[in-house]
This record gives sequence, structure tokens and C-alpha cells, in this order.
Amino acid sequence: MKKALTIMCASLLSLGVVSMVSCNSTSGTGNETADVVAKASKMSLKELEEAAKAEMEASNDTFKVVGLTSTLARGLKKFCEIYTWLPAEKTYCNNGYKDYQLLTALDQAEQTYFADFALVQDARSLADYAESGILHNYVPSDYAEMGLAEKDTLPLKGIHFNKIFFVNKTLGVDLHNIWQLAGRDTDEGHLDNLSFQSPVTEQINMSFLLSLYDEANAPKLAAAYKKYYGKDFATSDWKDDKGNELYTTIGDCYVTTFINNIKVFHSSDGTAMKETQCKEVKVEGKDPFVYYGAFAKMKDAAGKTYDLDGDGTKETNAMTTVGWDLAIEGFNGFMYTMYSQIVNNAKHPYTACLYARFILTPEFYTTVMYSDSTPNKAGQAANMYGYYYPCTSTTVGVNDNDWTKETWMQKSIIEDYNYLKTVKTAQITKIQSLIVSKK
Amino acid sequence: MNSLSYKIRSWGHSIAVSFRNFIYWCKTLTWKKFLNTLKTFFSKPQNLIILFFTILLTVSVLIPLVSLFFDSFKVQHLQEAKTFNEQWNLNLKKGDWTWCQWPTALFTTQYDFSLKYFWTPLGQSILMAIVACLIAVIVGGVLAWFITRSNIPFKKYISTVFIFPYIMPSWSIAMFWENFFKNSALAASNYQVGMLQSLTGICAPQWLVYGFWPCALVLGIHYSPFAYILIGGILRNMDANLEEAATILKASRAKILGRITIPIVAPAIISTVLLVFSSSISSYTVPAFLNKDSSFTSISQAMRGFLMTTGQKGQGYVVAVILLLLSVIILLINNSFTKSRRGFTTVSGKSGQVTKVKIGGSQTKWVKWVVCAILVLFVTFFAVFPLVTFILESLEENSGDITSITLRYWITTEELDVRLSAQGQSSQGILHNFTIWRGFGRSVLVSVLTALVAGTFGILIGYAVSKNRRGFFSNYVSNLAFLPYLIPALSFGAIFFSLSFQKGFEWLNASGKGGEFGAILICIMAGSIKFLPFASRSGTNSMLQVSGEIEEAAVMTGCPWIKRMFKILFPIQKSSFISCYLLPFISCMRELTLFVLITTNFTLITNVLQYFDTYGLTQISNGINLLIVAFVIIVNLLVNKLTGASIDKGIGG
Repeated sequence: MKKALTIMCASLLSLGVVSMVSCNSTSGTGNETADVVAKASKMSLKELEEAAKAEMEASNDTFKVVGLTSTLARGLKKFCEIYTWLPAEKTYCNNGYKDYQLLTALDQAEQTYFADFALVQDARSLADYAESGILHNYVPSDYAEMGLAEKDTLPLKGIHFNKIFFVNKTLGVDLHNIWQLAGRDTDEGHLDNLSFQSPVTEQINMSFLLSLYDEANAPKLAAAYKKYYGKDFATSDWKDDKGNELYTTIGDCYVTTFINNIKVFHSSDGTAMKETQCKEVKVEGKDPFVYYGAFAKMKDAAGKTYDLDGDGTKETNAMTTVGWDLAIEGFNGFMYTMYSQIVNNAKHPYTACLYARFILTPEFYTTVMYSDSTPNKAGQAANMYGYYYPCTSTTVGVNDNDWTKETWMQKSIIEDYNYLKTVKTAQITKIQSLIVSKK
Repeated sequence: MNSLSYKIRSWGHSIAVSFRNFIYWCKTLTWKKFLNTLKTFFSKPQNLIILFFTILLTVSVLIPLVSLFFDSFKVQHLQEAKTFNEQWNLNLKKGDWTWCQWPTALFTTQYDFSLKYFWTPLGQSILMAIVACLIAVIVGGVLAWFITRSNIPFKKYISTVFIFPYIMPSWSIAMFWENFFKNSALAASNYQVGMLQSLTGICAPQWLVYGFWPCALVLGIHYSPFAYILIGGILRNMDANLEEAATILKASRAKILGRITIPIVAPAIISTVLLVFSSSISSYTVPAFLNKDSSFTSISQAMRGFLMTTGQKGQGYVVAVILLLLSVIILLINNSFTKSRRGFTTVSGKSGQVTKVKIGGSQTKWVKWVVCAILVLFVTFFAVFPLVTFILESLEENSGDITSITLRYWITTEELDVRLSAQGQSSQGILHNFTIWRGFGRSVLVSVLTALVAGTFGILIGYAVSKNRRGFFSNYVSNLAFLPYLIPALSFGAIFFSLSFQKGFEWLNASGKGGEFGAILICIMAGSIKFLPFASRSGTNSMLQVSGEIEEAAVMTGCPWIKRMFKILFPIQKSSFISCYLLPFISCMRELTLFVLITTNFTLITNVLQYFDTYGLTQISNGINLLIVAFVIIVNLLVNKLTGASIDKGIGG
């Protein structure tokens, strides 16, 4: 018995040692997908194409792409046209998820294969999923030649979007300073009616409000504050009835008063842009509404016409009443990104990397972002409002009816992945508390 | 106190006796005796059924529930780990066990977070659910009484139309409510004029349009068909001799109502409260739709906020567990009530009679017509008008603009959205759209098969439970069959989603080997369990009403079990049994959240609906909604025509 026990202990010990040695001997991260993605990041385009081709030819499974935008499916179709070794019937795209549904689905990838490629929005969630090893970041080795800045590779940008403040321009809203939407009701020029989607359920709006706490954005708020109030921001100017200072920073002041000023929590940016603003009528003694929503919904507004004067002809196109090109002191909105990521346990990581790279090419952009419904001044199909190309390119044009990406960047609060990933939950709970206790 | 100690002593005594008997049985056990015991046990179909469902429901319901409970004690995200480590000075990683979620969700005092984001929404939501229950029971109960026990005219219309609010998605009634009451005095409605104001010039106050009251009212009306079906089922079969005897004994109307009618319908009322409370407190779409002024945050919105926010998911599970516990408490109250009653038999071998109360005397016949007019107006307002809104929304080029009516979104062969056609799908008008009709066909297939499975399971459970009401395992099965109702649909779907990635189950994966066929199969599996509560409640209630003597007579003549079911029980309780199938069918036809993870973009009609809605083709999405509602109504009417049964004669009939 004693002997048997000794043999068993020795076997277990040697098994342990062998396992430890074999673990230590593995080079790389210890995660197969991460290793392949790191390898792919060092490959030239040709090498990557060959690796992807070999991978798909050896596989009996479909290449799976998931995300939140229809552009993914159209891009995948084009991708198959270019890379003929990937037949369309061997691909699968699910782009009908809502953001929380996609995140719930991605949790699966921690243990097993779920998809190859994901286009993910919401920087905070992405940071968490990346750190957990659910998502892996690929960086094309030729990113600089593609016109992508290094800072835009970690995580790898896919498509830029923006949410903006807009009004019905026929109602003569004078929105010239961002503090008109916050501050006190008694401030001169204060705009009382703000329509905003609840950040409790719309994570991009949460990111926007969180970004306003960022010290990096304080100068924009401070400059606008000075212009509006004629003096520098001081916490001592904002006290409650008992004389206690209400806010610790200018961002804190802005976010709190902004939330208090929201009159409508609309449920759909699309409806706000294509319908609500267009049908809005001037109400005596009330401020017209200022809406905050996704600029990409302009394409929906472009397809809507209304008979506003009741003469039986639908002469008003909803897009024409959207006042978006406002000269607002401070900022006009929030610029955010959908990021290209390789999903953990991907069966086709090389193909996923190739697709991530393809999204950054002018070919992808012109295929999926150009639309007849939002033509340029010459009446030709041009890029849809609210979708912006992350790289610089001479072949990708801009819609000359829209501002350029660079202009929007200057006029917007920009989503900062590195800031948002450090935001503490307490900051979020503060915003949630403000929203639910708003009177 | 004495009674409690007596109870404890008596329980102790029973356990000791059972244990002694068991030891004796083990000691004297022989192989033959064991086989005989087994044979006797399995000769009773109810035992077989209970055994089968004990295993099935333990795997498919108890495990997900336990995992939901455990999830509230696990670190869900790295962000959570960081927060807890900082806050509690711990060293947690993702996936570690922790109790921190609970105090963080329930007792965070910073910014009054827990008070504002948990306790207040919870309190308000409980209140909202109670008001919804009251409305449902009063509206549904009163209507059930008028339909079954009075002589008012237009019963068929009222009865058929009154179940429409349940067939329609709850948010459609919320949308109708807002469209009706919004007015130019309210900023929350963007100063838009609603129907009431344009017809009468009256501006409803804000509290009637947004917030707590409209939520409670809309939910109460949406779920009042539950009360109508359940209470109506009992009233329809109740022997009027009881009430008449009381009348002869000169009991007052109030006394008859309080001592006879209400006690008889009490099980139905309790079941209604259970269903309406559980549904209302977890309802998300209605509070989300009618909270544009942020005056009322429901606990379901707070839970969704938690679950959607990276770093708070675990707290979302805490809220889910608490909601579950609340509903379990009501379930226990329901159970203790049912246990305390010796019987609920309303259908026996003896003849009974149902006499109709005459509304208004011979001189005041007009009272009957006034009552009828009120009821007709009421059901038309809440059941027909929202349906008309759907029709208009699918026909209007511009929402709310009646002059812009067009059939374009129904009949055009033009592709309306390049994003769909680029994916090989159709964006043509509804009548020409193969994506819509393919999704619709699959939804019908999934709903029919789900209804068949869930309905049959429900009837079998009802049979077995009614035969062995006090048995531990029958109670276990009965309770477990109700619990899927309380599990959030997305969490439930996530379990099946995860299953489809496990080795050996890949054939169920919509994005993999299974394809659309796999998606359909897994939807049937998930739907059959998720919608089992309707069927099992219905099955149990109806079986409890059938007197045992009817089946016993058949047993005496040597009639086999299958024959007893098909020749005796089914014909007697046909309406109830058919409602066992119809209720899961209706729920399944309009379900999306449960199926969203396990299907593709275009598998079911509800997937297609979400897609069209997201991409701005709201006329088509409204048309699809109308299609679903109209189809369910037609099926209900057809079933009614062919079998004489329908859900409005429904549960417990």
C-alpha cells in the first residue's frame, strides 16, 4: 500500500513538472488567437492574403462576422468579390444585434468559438473585453501607408460616426454656445427644451457625458463658458441655498446642469431626426427643441417628405429642415468609433485580420458608405452623413454638403479610448443617479 | 406561538415516522419486492409523468435559475473586479466568487445611488405592479361576470375583441396611449397634438400621459385578458344553484358576492395576480416608452441599465434575483392558498345549471343597453383603436398624417433599401417581400411546434399534479414549470445560445452547422420551456376542476389511460386544453428577446421586424406587426369556429 502511494505521488509530481515545463516552453501569449493575430500584424498584405487563403481552403466552417451595422454585410460581399477563394456562401454575417446583445453574445468567445471578426462600439466595453482576452487587436503592418495614424491602431479603428446637436432650422433657434443647453434656466439665451436618448440604455451617450468630465475637454467647456458668462468658470459661482459649492469641476457642472435641462428622453435618434424635428411647430412662449442624435440618421431623413402646410403636396423633405451646421461655441457633438476586432477562439483569424484591414481600404468605404440618398453638390452619390473614413486617402472623397471629418473632429468631443477605459464605475453611477432623480 | 410549536413537533413526528418506515422497508427489501414496488409505481401514468418532468425541468429550468443566482455572486467583468478591489481592498479577478455585487447594488450611499437607482424604482415598480393587478382583476373580472353571468347583448363581440390587448405587444398599447393623450401643453411630447386634443381640445395632464399611472394602466389593460380568461373560465362552469340557494336564504347581494362568488373565483384571482404581477414588474417596453419625461424609472429599466453597462452586469443579476424572489413569494402564497383549499371542482358528474342575471328590470331594460354600450366602447377603445393605429402606421407615408396614405409599403416591387438587397434579402413591399414571408413561415412553424410541445407538456403536468396534489415531486414539478416565466428572456436565450456552441450540439447553431434549420430547432427547444408556464397553469387549473370520480368510473371499466385522456378528459375540458396550446402559440409568435441570440438576422418574422425598424422602414415594421396580430386573431377565430374553443373561453374553462 505504502509502495503504491509512493508511486502515485511520484507520478503526480512528474506530471506536474512536465506540465509546468511544457507551459513555460510555449512562446507568445499562451492564447492561440492572440498569437496568430500578433503574427498577422507582422505580415505583409501578400503574406496575410496567402495565410487567409490557406486557412479558408483548409476549413469546412463559415467565416463569421458580427457587428451592429449593415455596412458589414455589404462589405463582406465586396470582400468575397475581391478574394474569390472565399465564396459568399461560406460566409456568415449577423449585423442585426443591439449593442448589449452583441456583448452578451461575445461573452461566449471566452470559452469557445463564436465568430471570427467583430465590429464593436463603446470603448469602455471594448477595453474590458480586450483585457479579458475576448477580443484581440490586429494592426496592419502597412497602416502608415494606408494613411492611418498610429494612435488609431490601438484599438484598430473601423468606421467613425458622430452624434450631434441639431434643430429644426425653420424655427429660428439661436444655438450659439454649448452652455445654453446647461447652466441655469435664468441664464440669458438659455434653451429650455433638450431632447436626448437616455444614457442608461444608450451607451454612446454615456460615453459622451463621461468624456465631458475628462480634463482634456475642459478647455473647450471653459472657453465657451467665458464667452457665455463673460468670466472664467469658478466653482464658487455655483452654490446651493446653504452656500455649499455644487460642483468640483467645470465638466461636473456642465454634465449635471445639462442632465437637469433634458425635457425629453427620446427613444430613437432616427425618429427624432426624420420625423419629430420636421413636424415641430413653434409654440408661443416656449423654446424650440434642440435634439442630440446620430448624424448617420440623415439618410433616413432624406427619404421622408411631409405635407406641413396641409395643401396636399408633400413638399418638405425632413433632411432639409435639419439644422446641423451650427456655429456652436464649445462643441457640436461627439465623435466615436466602431473598432475592428478579432474574436477569441476565431477559427479563421487570418481571414478576420484581412477583413479588418479591408475595412480600412477606400474600396470598402466607397462601396458601403456612398449613397444616392445623400448626394454631393454635383448630385452624385457621395458618402452618407455621419460616416467617416478613418484613414487619409486621395481616392476617398467627402460629401461636400457635409463637413469633413477633420472639421467634425475640431468641432466635437472625441471619444478617447484611453480615457474611457480608466473611468471608474462611481462616475457612471453618478450619471445614472442624476438621470433617474431628474425632476 | 403554541400553534407553531405544535406544528414543528408534528412535522418532527411525521419525519421520524417516515424515516422509521423507510428503514423498515429497506431492511425487509427483497429484489422481488423492489420490482413490485417499481411496477406499482410506474403503473400509474401520473408517476411516470412526474418522474420525466422532474428530470427535464431540473435540467432545463433549475440549472439556469441556479446559474442566474450564482452569477450574482460572480465577478462578470474586469471593470467590476477593479471597482471591488479598490472599494473593498480585495484581489478579485474576472470569474471569481464575490458577495460584493449585493451590497454595491443595494447599499451604495454615494450619490444616493442605491436609493435612487434600486430602492425607489423597486418600490415604484411594486406599486405599479399592484395597481396593474388591481386593474386587470377588476376590469377582467367584471367583464368576465357580464359575459358569463348576465344577459347583455353583443357578448360575442366583446368576448372576442377583449383578448386583443393581450395578443398585441404591450408597447403598441403604450404607443396608442401616448398618441391619444399627448398634447401641445407637454414638452415631453414635443408639444405635438394628440387625438384627444384634436377631437375635444382637452389637454391631459402630464401624469396621465407619462410616468407611473399610464404605465400601471396600460399594463393592467394589457394583462386584463388573463383575469378575464381565468375568472371567466370558472364563472362559466360555476353551478348557479349555490348563489340561488343563498338568494332563497335571503342573503344580500354583497354577502353572496363575498361568501360565494369571490371564494369560488379566488384561485383564478390569485393566478391572475401571480401572472400579472410577475409580468408587470419585469415589463421593460411600457415603462421605457412612457417615461419620456423621466418621472418614473422602473426596476426593469434599472436592471437593463445594469446589464448593459460594462462594470455593472453582476448588479443586474442581483436585481434579476430579487425580482425572481418577489415572484416566488407570490407563487408560494398562491401555492399555500391552493393547498389550503380541499377542492376546486366545478366540473363534476352531477348536472349543474348556469342562470343568467338579468341586467335591469322589465321597466329598466335600457340599463342593459347602457352597460353594453359602455363595455363595447371600452373594448373598442383599447382593443380595436390600437389595431387601427397599426394599420394606419403601415399605410401612412408620414406617421400621423392621414392624408399621406399609400399602399406603397405593401405592394411595391421596388427595393426600398439597398442595405437589405445587398445582403440578398428583399426590401420590397410586404406582399412581395420574400424575406418577410420566409421569416413569417418559420415563425409559424416554430410557434406551432412550440405550442404543441409546451401545450402537451402543460396538460400532462396538469394531469399529474392534479392526481397527486400533495406529493413533494408533483409540487416540485408544478413550481418548476412556472419558474421559466420569471427568468429574464435574454438570460434564458443566452443559456441556449451557449449550448449551441458545446460539442455535440453544434447542429443547433444558427451561425454554424445548424444554419436556419438549427435555429428553428433551438427556438422550439427554448420556446417550449419558456412558454411552459402558460400551458402548465392552464393545464393544472383545468385538471383541478375535473372531479376525480369521472376518471375513476372509466378506470373501473378498465379503460386505458390514453383512451381516458382522449375520450373523457379532453372533450370535457376542450376549451382549457386548447388554450394550453394557444397561449404559448401567441407568445411565441411575437417573441424576439428570447430568440435574438440563437437566430440570424432574418430567421423569424420578429428578427425581420427589428431589422426593418432599426433601418428606418417603420411602415414595413408596423405592417409586420399588424400581420402577426392579425394572424393570431385569425387562428384564434378559426380554432373557435372549428373546435368551439378559444382562448377567451380559456384557462380553467
